[in-house]
Amino acid sequence: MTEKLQKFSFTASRYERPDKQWTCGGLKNGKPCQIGPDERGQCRATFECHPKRSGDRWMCTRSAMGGGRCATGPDMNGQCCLRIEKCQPIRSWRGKRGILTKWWFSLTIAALVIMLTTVDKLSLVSPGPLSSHHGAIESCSDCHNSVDGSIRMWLNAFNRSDLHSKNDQNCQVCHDLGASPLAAHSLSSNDWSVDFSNDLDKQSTTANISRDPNVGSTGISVGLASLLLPDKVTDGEGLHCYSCHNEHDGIQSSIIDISERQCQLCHQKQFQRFDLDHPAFTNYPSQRRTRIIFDHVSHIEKHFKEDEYESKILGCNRCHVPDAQNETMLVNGFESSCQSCHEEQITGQNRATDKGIPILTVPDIDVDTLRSKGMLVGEWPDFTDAELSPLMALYLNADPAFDAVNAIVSRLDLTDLRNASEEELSHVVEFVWMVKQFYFNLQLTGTQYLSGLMGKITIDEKNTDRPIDLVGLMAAMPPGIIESANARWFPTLLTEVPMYLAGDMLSIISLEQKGGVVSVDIDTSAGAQEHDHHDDILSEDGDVLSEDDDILSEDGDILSEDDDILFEDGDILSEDDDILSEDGDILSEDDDILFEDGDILSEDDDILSEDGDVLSEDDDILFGDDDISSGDEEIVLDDNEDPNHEELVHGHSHQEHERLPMEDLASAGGWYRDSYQIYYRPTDHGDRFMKGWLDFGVWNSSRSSDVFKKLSTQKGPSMCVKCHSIDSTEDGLEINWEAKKPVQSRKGFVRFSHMAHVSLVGDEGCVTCHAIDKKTDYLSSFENLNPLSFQGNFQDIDNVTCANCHTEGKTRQNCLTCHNYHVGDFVPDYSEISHP
Amino acid sequence: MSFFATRRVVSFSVCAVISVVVLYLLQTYELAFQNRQGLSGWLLVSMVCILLAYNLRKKLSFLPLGNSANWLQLHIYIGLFTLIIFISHIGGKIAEGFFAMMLTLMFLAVCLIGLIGIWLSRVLSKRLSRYGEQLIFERIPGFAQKIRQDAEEVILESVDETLSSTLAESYSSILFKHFSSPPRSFLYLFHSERYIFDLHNELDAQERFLSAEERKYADQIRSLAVQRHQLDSQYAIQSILKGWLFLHIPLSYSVVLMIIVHVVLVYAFGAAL
Repeated sequence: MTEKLQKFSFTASRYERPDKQWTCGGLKNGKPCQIGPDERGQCRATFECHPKRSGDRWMCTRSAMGGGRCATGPDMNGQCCLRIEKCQPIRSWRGKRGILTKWWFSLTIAALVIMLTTVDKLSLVSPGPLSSHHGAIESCSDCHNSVDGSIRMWLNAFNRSDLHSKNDQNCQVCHDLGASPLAAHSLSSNDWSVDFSNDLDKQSTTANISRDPNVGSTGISVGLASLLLPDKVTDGEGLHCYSCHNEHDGIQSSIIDISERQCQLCHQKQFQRFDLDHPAFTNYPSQRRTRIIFDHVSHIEKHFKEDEYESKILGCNRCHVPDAQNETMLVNGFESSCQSCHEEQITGQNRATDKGIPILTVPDIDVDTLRSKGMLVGEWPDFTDAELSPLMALYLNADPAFDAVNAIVSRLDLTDLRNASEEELSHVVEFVWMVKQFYFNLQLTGTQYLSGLMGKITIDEKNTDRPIDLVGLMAAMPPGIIESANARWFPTLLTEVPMYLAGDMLSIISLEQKGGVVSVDIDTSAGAQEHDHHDDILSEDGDVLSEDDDILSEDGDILSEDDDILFEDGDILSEDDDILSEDGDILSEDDDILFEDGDILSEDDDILSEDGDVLSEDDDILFGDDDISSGDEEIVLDDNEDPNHEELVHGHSHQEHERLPMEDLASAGGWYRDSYQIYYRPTDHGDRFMKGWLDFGVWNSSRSSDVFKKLSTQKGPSMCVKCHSIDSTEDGLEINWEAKKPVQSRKGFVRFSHMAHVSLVGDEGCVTCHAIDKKTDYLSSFENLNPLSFQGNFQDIDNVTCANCHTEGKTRQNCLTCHNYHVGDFVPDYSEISHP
Repeated sequence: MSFFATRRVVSFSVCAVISVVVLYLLQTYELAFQNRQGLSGWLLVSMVCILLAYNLRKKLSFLPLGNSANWLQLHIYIGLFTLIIFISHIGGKIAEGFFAMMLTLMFLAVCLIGLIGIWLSRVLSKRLSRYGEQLIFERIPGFAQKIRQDAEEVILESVDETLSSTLAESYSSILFKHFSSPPRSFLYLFHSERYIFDLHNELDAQERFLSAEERKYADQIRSLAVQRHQLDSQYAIQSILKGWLFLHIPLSYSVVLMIIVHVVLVYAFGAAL
């Protein structure tokens, strides 16, 4: 056994200092010097000792470890005799490591400086690629607020408390989440009364930010975390975007980073897993009644008996189709689902009652009483039995004075005014002239007049933004129908009204006394001139009864006993015809009417004076029902009330060519006149007139409620509201013209894709989830106007149905599988898109 | 159970418990919509500072800051804890961005090298005890030189005493290289005995040509050869035990620099607490 190499004694082993940077070069030979190199690696060795003078002698001071006192000793000058050869000191391991560390450190600094000063520094410091959602973002400053500046600006970010808010605002440049984007569910405290799961219909929902420890259990973590919730969550300010969204995790990464337990922090009804203890669905999927009133039970049991409905899926597909995204099931349109059975109900083809709706009427007024009291009403038809229609009342309402008049008139029985006071009668007279002015103006200016009235009718303030379909409300009313109606109802209307407006009561009285014969003396307006042209009994050719006019049949003609007056040139009163000579004929006492100009009825001719007139009001050839003075052929068609006239004109009765009633003549829908009323008959489903007036009726609740009642009867024409339900909303009544349609920009709390589930239904088809509930009284839901108070045709979907698949080990069951976090209407702002 | 084993179990247990608790709290913090990465990031910065303090402690040995062994234990287990928090901080995946990836890889490299260093110190120190006496690393070259000189003296003595050059020739052809080469660093790292085994075979083969007198000197030479072999093993193992720090420490300083830049970037880009 060899002796030990290393001896540990102060005489045999020197003290090693491994933390020194340099070691003696003699160490590699096992003979290092005692002093060693300096800090800079310079050899400091000279002699083995520094002799010490003792008296007059120099003494060797070599240490015992160096071999002890040498035999030779120092020379006379006190110099050690044993010189140590200079060595090349070597770095210690510590020294080498220090050098490496310094170099590496310097290299790192250099690399960082290069990285942070290079042009492409932002891409180098980026934590990673953006997700595919944000792949189009090119500049870091699009999202990060302080990156465009220098590194000094980066350092200043430590002091910026608003940096997160700024970054959140950058997110909102593209992601418009409404007025409260950072609040819980992006809903402000006011929005919490809105249920977004059902198209913004109102539902009493309360914000429950605080956790209720008595409901459910989700473990200690959730309880502990609820204590750590940031103040801005509990006080409603909300969270920063990055609280739930992480970026820079790669193209394929999901930027949504929120767990179901985080949802539990704020929600009262807490649970651990969907398949275990998720709260039962209530009113799902329907949280309100259907917009279109359709009783599935009655239709299936009573009407859908064909084979095609045997298959439950096919049967449902008859009326329901998926939307473009294959997510939401929509209701097919009327044309494909309902028309085959319900179209005739709209057009009224087989309806026993009125097929049209009286829109404009001439009310039955006891004008005899008014006249007997000396009140001036002008001409008013004796035989009308109509009432003032609500819609016409609405038009009259445009006159500010109508309210006061109507307040009195509506209390009276207009058909019997004998007991009315003078004051009341005066209001009735005023009412009469209002009606006349209405027809007068309507004839002269047509639908422009109606549009003007519509502009004056006040809309409920909250509905002023509603789009009023003025064109629809007019329904292309033909001008001729008013003209012909006026000619029939108020032949002297165009004369009377200007007189009335001018305060020329004497002329009206005179006109009354004349029996209302048209004097044709109105030339104040273009309309009046037009009237002259049409109502002039003297047509261009000057003859009243030409040979083409067969009113002079063989018997019963008014002119003479013999019928040969129409021979020869067909002119009954030419100067060549001698029928008016000798016998003092019917035209006048004197015969000079045929002299001079040979014109029987020029304006200068007094043939129509006093009692000798040919065409008095008693002569029913020309007045009353058979006004041949009008050029409107519709008059001839309308006048079917007087069989004598027909017989007189055509020489044969109706029985040979029986004409359909007026409402049937308008079977395609539109305007028609019958008796003293002008009707409108709906054309088809979606009739703009009906829709427009029903909307106007609900939007203008104070003034047009009667209009709405008139049009909204389920038994009347159109029957719109038989299927289109009416909701009461904060903005008033709302008619649901369409079934529920998904709005792509609208995010509700719940989402469900039919496409993802349609292949999973069993033999039951749609009924797998949508089980029909025959016990409910579906139609009773529509007896009130509250859409949230209802009984559906279907049972609520059972959680278990979903949990069959959405369970541990099968498929996802986290909250965001079925729920959206951000809810509301998020419509992109296309206005900010720049165009080249 | 030995003191060290007990200490190790206790330290591991404490580290594991603290890690689990901290991870749970971080998760809860995140559950409460708080910035978990921000909190874990500052926790990591704090831990790195403590880890760096160990190096400072070694430089400031004159201060009464506790003994180095305890500091080493603290350094080891805080390092382990830091690694766990770091993995949580990065979400268990390496970022794809250049700087973030570099920082992640460097941090992991420092941690990995540290773990390897601990493992080496546990494994190689046991092996070290099997190679004769414990030697101060810096003196090994000198000892190697001394062994060579001793061997040469034995050879010269044998020549003088036996008047035979057989052993001297054998030394020149077989042993000279063994004794005169510098300490072999990595030859014995993997616990290889192949070299000494071959040397014994060579010496055994020569022994039949030696006289009884020469064999006594041959035994001394063989003994010195084995001592040199052990010296080489010592050198190789101690080189490794000191050498891993050549990676661990420089990388650590680089990581510290990058952490500073990382914190600035995090604040500048608005992802901090």
